[in-house]
Amino acid sequence: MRTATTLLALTLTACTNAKFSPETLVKDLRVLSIQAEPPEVGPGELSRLSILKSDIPGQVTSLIWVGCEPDPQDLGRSACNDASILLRPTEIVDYPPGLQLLGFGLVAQYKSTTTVFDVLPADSLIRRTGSVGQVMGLVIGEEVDPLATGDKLRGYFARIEAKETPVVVALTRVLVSEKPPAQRNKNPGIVDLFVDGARHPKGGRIPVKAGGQAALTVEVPADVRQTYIEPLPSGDVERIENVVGAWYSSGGRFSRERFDATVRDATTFIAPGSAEFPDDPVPERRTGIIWLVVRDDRGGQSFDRYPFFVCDEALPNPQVTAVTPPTTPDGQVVVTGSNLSATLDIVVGDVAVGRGAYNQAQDTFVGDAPALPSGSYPVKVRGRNCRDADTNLLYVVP
Amino acid sequence: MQRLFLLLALWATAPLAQTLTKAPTLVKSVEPEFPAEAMDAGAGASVVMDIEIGVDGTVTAAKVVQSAGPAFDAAALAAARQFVFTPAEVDGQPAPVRIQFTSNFTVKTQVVEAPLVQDAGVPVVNFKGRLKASGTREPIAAASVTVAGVEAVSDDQGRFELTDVPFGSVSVTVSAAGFEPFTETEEVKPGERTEVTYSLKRTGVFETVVRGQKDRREVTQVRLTQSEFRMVAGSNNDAFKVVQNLPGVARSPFGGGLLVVRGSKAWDSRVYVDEIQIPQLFHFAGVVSTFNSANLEAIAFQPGNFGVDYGRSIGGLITADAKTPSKSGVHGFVDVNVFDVSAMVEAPVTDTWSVSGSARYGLAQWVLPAAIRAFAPPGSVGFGLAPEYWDYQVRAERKVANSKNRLFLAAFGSSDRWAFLTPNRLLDPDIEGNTVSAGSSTLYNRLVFGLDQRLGERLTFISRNSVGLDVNTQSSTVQEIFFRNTQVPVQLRERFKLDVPEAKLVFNAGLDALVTPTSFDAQRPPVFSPNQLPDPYVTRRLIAATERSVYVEPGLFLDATWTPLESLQVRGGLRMDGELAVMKKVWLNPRLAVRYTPLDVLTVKAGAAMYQQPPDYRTGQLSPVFGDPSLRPEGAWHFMGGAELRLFKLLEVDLQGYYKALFNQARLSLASGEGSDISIPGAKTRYTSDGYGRAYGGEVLVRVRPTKYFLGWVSYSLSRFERDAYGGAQYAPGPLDQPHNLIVVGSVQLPWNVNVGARFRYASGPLVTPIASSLFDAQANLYVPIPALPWSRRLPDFLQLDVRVDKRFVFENWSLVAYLDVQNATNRQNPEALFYNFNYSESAFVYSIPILPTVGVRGEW
Repeated sequence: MRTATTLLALTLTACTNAKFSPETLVKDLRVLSIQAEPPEVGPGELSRLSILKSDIPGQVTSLIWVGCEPDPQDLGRSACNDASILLRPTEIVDYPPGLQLLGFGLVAQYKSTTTVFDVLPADSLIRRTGSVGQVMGLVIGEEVDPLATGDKLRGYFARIEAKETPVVVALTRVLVSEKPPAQRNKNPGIVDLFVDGARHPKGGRIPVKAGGQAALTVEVPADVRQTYIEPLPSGDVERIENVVGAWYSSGGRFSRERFDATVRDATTFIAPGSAEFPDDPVPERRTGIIWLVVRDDRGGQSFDRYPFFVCDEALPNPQVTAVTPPTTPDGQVVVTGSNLSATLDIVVGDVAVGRGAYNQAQDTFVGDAPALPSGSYPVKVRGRNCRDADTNLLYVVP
Repeated sequence: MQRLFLLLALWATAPLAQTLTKAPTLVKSVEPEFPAEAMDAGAGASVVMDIEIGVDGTVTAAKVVQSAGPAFDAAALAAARQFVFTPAEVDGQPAPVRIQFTSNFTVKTQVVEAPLVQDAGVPVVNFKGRLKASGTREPIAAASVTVAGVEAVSDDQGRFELTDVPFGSVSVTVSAAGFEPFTETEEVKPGERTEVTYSLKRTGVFETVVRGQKDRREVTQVRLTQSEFRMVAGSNNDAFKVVQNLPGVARSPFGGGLLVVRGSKAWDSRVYVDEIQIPQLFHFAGVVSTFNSANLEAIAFQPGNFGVDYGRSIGGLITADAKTPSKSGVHGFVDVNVFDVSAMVEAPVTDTWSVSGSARYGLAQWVLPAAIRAFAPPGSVGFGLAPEYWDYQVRAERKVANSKNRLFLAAFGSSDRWAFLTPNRLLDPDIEGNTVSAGSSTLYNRLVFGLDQRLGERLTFISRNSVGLDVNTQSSTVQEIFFRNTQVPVQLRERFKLDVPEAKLVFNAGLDALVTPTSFDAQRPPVFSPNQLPDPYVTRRLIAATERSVYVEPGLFLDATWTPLESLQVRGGLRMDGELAVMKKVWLNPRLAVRYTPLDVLTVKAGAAMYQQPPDYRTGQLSPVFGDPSLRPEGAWHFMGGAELRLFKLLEVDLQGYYKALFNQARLSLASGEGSDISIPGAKTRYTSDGYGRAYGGEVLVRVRPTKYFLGWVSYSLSRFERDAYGGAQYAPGPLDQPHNLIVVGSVQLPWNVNVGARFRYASGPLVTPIASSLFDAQANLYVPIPALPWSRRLPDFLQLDVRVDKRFVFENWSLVAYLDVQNATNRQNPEALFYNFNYSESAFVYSIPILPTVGVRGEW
């Protein structure tokens, strides 16, 4: 009966006036993904942790990584699995058994003990299916001294516990097993993004008109869906992974929040400034970010970020007369021409000039050299007015 | 010559809250002799008497309360003392009652208009007939029929005969208590017997409730009869839903079917029909109970301190008495409303045997999906299997009129099946097959044999035995997760009641055994502790278990009710329960209750009792794989004190205060992040018996004694329920702690066979567990809520008004009732829960049911 009542409550969620912001809209400090590379390791092997988080202009953020030993006997003794730790995070620096600080910064490493499965019989199924080492990433709204210890370190957690400093806690897991490496899970990759059917230049910005729509399509590797064996009480079952993509953005809306990444269906992005969403105006600097996270359903994940620009159609078309490759390994590509302040991106082949920006002093457009193999590539200029133009120039990579 | 009237109904000679379930019927009438000295005067007279009728129907005493002179008084009393009635029944049992009776002396003028064909001097029955109630065709007993000055009284089958009625056009007058006066003109012909059948209209729908004498042994019991529970607004004619309007029962969220008695969880309270346990009280979402109330005679509710004849529960008790099938012709009904269609038929088979059968089939499988399509956001929820439910009850009973002995065979059962579909949060809703499901299938059946047999003047044997088949299946999210529990419960209840009047004692002793062979098949993830974050990897590591167990729960009880004074009653007893096969434990519970009636209008009462029950083995709490077989029996102490008042013969007031202490409650173990339970193996990491709690408060029930035109009551509960808290507090509010719960119920019979009822409820707002923060599960791409102290935020108070209107169309042989039952008639938005955004940083109220009209029609014959 309790289940029925709960489900009735679910049914009656129609009886609420709730109108919440969509999950895809990122306006504050958020963690969007934590990737463990590789997502599955053997006992004592390293996994590299990296995080995808939103950056709020003007806000300092720091990362603290906390990891716990796997719990192969399912005794529920992992501190990282204990909700009360999250209510009283100062207990973290009491270092409950099995918990350790993994480090500070955007990346960290996780490693279990080599003896993690010694408590289990040699033929234990758990050795084959694995046990998870849990990792918490705490993003806090203040600068953290990576060398902090003792009271100074406890002070950070005390301020978190007292809600004096903002914090976002994210959890991920590294699966530790004795599987042969070939059978372990791999992170799904992201090959390309297509905008309105065209391949999006790597490192480039997505031009969108205010309130306009862009059709986003994701290409993942053809073999992204791994086949794996799932042991059930009735016997082993062969399964194929699901791979799901999720969109986020600092402004605008998506026609769907999640999608089957193995199907090339487009998601429509509605740029800020639409009449439909008056609370989502064109950003002050007309820029924003779209984040994409692709996950399989075994813990693997990959992510990418794509800046977008809300065009100003009143701007003139930029004219490019020359593109000069860097003369030194640390040098920059220099683009000359007219109206270059209206340039959004210089695209060489399928790659944008990295971190491209208008140099007002020299009236040029400069950026990092695109990482391209040797050859000659056509150069295209993309304007901040949402108009692209071929320059009829070739960029030569020696 | 003689004209008799039962003028008024009967009145109480006993404590409150007892109901006359069968009125006495005059079966032997003796005509009083008209005083010779008064005959000459040619004047009539009326003598009003109080007549006391014994349990065997004979007149034990008679006295004049309105005299017509010594001669008339003496004649009336002499005749009355020779009357014989059918025994009255109170609460279904023969009981002595007192009635007021008027003996009318009239001087009859002999009028002979035509010579009789019959032999002179021999009385001849030339006018006979039968009286029945319009619509129900129930016979009308003790009615006065006057035809051209010749009078008769109908018997308990409604039959009457008159002799020597003058020929020609005659006026017929019929008077019967509870019916409109009836007049008709008939033609009586020489040499012919005139036979008639008259249908009389009732003057009100409510039975006149009379309190009769009966042992009153329970200290917390509230008893409701058909006439009371049929007209309560918002309850769909359902007796068990009416119980939710009584003191001690918390308001059920979303108007559902939870029965939370003084804060206890559902497993703590038990429901019995004819002393056989009902394993599932309500159909899907509490729409209606699984046992059709049309088959019930009365229902009694005890929120605590019940006697030793019931056990294995530490909360409240509901006992219902099934109705004896009709012994006066074929009757039944067909009822159709938006939730279900139901029908019943009952009939006598022989003079002693009668049978009944009823069935109900739910319409929710069509109504609910349509409602969801109309009101729920597209794609938010759907049904893989729309709620489908049915129930049935059949009964054959042998009962000799005026006998306490009876035996019956009965079978009843119920089925509920449904499966919800919700979008998989991990995928886009557009993806084909992107749904997760949660399904449930619950089936129960009972075959019952019952026997009531008097073994002598003092000894009565009561036997209730049943065998059942219960199948409960739950499945969720993915196909591989399921839970199936199949049980064949065998219940044996054999009890003896022994009266020892010289010692003023009544003993009640018996066996109450329950043997439950159980097959438990489950495949599910390990049990997660309440403070543990779900782990998709462990979830995927499913555990399968198939267990075959036989739960053996013997029960033995003995109690004695001692009545040293007419005003004092002491009941004490011991009950032994246990579970011998899995828990291998036996426990002994003492219980004591005292009632003292210092004044006719006042009874004070008190009780103390201990209760214990096995942990909920239906859900696997005693499973060696998913639970812990070494759990201790859950226990509770009940203490209560109170008073019953009867004011102005109009109001009955029941006041109670109580304290309930819970101990050894089974609860999930907490995961310890500190490694303290590393050394605790297996089961202890899943459940412990360390839970405790307490409930305390006061309850008031003010009932207006039902009349033909009005019934109603006011119920108020001031209660607190607190449990051990995981957050470190010694006590914290329990999930259904409702400090205030006020219910006002009223129903009025209006002219034109219209009945209007209303129910108003005010209750403290529901408790919710606030979300202190949340954690982003980067792999599952969802936020896991981190709860604060459980049930520590109270939502705004709950207010609801329900209204019910019934219109009865009475035809000669049947009647049609059209009804409209509107829940939340003011469409008030009552917060019922909180609804959160994706990361639990914003919340909004989820409201209870909006205005919900139920329309139905019911044909009765």
